[in-house]
Amino acid sequence: MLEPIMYEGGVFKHNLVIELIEDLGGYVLQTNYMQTEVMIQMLCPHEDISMLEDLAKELRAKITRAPLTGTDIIVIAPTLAYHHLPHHACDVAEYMRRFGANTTLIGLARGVGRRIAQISAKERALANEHDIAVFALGNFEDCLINKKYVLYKDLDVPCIITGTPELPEPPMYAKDYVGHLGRIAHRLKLEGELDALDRLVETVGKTLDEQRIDISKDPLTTQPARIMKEIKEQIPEINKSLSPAPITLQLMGARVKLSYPQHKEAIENVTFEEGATLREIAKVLPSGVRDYMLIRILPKSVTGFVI
Amino acid sequence: MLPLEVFRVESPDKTGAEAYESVIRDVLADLELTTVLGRLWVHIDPAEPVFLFCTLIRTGLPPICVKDMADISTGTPSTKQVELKLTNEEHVSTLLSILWIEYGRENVSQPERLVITIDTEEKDRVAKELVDVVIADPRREIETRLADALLRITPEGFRVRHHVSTGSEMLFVASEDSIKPEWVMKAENMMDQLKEDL
Repeated sequence: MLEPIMYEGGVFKHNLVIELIEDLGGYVLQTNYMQTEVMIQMLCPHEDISMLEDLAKELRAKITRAPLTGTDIIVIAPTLAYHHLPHHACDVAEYMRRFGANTTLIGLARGVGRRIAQISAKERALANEHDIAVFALGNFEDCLINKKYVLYKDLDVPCIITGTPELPEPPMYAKDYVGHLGRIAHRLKLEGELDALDRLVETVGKTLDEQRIDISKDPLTTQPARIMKEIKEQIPEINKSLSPAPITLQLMGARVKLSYPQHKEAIENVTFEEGATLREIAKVLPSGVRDYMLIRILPKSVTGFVI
Repeated sequence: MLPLEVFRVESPDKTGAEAYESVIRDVLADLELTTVLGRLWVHIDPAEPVFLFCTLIRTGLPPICVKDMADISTGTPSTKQVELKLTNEEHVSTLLSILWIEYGRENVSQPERLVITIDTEEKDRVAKELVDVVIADPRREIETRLADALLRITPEGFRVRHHVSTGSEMLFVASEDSIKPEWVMKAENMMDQLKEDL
């Protein structure tokens, strides 16, 4: 089993870490350079973590388990107005990034109010592209329970709601609820607020684990990280992408930040060692984000094999 | 009236009221309005839905005129200019732009940091009328900031608004439905109670 790990240390000799991970059969998902520091997100085989720990100790670096690594989470605020941003919607998105998630933050066009709140088909399709949707909602229990469910009732992905009151059970249609994270006009830095963020990460992690178990009942033909590795090796254009994560991993596939009309053919023709092409084991679809493409890996029950 | 001597946020939803109190405190602090407001009473009922905001504004600073920031002199009888010796540099850029509009850019010069001269044939008249020209009005600025604060505090979906604003008080009613007369009456009652023992 591959363990999601985050490495934080100096740039000096960090290539040794990347080489070690590749030798062990793990995957480097993302490397961020911050002047003389480097942050690497990776998947490492569970039984070999001690080797990585020894190397990190030698290089005076820090290694932490990042449970949200390799997931794509969308944080949805009712709008992009200063009522919701930068606190607390951006704080929520940023905090989950620290645990390895790739988060996207959007504001709905007409998500405000009670009677008037609504979500458009385009926004819904965009949310459905992700692994989990986190809705950053407000202060009043009545709104959370009786009104705001219209925003997420038709979503296919699990929805986690945040708000101020502590609710005994999540609102209708929501997968889970985290309290003490409602409308706040200052940076989330007080003790109770950080605890709430930790609870949110825990809740999101738990929901993702449930999804992983669901997926393992009918396993994917290949791992998303493997697809990422093959695309990086076979499609040179991906290295020209200026995005920090040109390939964003998801539980069931990946979002590739290349133009769908231009690169669809090339991506579908990516070949694996075992002889299969990507076309045979996955669907390549247009993404709602710009003109990017979305890869959805087919399960074993459809393809009949696992590589 | 002391700054925020009355600060009441009410709602049938207790947790929501507490959260709103924190939001209001943050917004007022961000916009430097804490010392400007004397008494504040907010009532929110999400079930109606209505948001009522009543506040008494503390009588603030008087407008700043040219005489408050500069000594005006006409110099010797032969010179054809008015000289302003600045005593306070805070609003110089506003003063300069007002002078440029009034007397023309070519006639206004600033030979030194604290000296501004205006070339004119009628220096006595200019010196006399300059004295009371208003450069900055903190009260108007407060009104702008208060309006901004209200928009930030009010729940975003509440876009139907009613307000009554005088120099010393502000009454604001917002909802996402049409404003009902009883809400306005309630707000007026709240305002009357706020004004008691003033």
